[in-house]
Amino acid sequence: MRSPLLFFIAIFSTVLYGCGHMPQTADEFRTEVPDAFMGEVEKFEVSRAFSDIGRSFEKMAPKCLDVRIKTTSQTNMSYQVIVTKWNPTVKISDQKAELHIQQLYEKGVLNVYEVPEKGYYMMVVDATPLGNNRSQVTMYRASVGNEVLIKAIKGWAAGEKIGCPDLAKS
Amino acid sequence: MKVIVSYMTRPYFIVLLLMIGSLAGCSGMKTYSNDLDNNLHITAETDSGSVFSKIRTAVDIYKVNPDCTTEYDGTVQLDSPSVDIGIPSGRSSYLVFVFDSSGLFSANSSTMYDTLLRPRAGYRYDASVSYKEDIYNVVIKEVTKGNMKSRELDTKGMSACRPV
Repeated sequence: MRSPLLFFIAIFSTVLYGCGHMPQTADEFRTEVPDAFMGEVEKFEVSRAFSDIGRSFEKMAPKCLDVRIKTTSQTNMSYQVIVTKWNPTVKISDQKAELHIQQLYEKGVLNVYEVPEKGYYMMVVDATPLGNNRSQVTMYRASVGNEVLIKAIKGWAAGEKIGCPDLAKS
Repeated sequence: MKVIVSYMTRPYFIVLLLMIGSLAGCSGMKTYSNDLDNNLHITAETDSGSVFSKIRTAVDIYKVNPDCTTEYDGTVQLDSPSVDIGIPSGRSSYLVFVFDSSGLFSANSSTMYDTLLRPRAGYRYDASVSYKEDIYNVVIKEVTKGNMKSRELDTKGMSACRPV
């Protein structure tokens, strides 16, 4: 992972910390991201039923996002290893398909705030029906970084035969 | 489970790694002994997106024992557009596709995509492997010999293995 991304994630997380805690649920994340510095809510329309989008998420999220990333950084004075487990969750109900992406730091990061079971929320994506086989997709995320991940999720939502994002480059 | 390893290093450390790499004969990597009838056709396409970086692709092949432990059989480098190899039929093999990324101005990283494959006699398998613009994909299809009907296989990691 590139160091600037770590920097931006750190800032994004710090701003979410501002209210004294990290979001413990997807709903809390949805509520807090719009007001967070470097938080962004992106909405776009897709010509597919939300249930089809959900099925794409069900197929691709476990295949691509259930990963463990080991980042090693070395300078003159330090050597650091960070191990991060990515945990995707897909939920499909009558009116919404959801993709939650959480990161659990297993090594190298001191978790000061209470950590949700599957790690801190880093992105939540909702697909809701607009009628006539069209859906609105809403991404709650940081405004900087994760470009490859965002590109892949948009491709999955659109039904494109796109593969997995290389999360080491995200 | 996939594991991605990313390194941020100083130049001398890269030089050290290159030296170690040149001594790969001492590493645990071995070439897969391809002495079975070819039943897996792999096409590989990579594009790092930059003249300053490079992607190397390989597949590590493991034998899966009845108790779901694995034994490393060897590695096939996917450095030509297509490769044909033989995978034992009637039992599971564990395939790990490895994308090694290296560059002058970027961190080195290694991304792995794994799946169990249990080839059936009388079928051949087509694997399409790609890495473009930081997005990778592995699609494996089972093709009926003769009528060329094919179906895409769901990828299953080692967690799907059940001891016999």
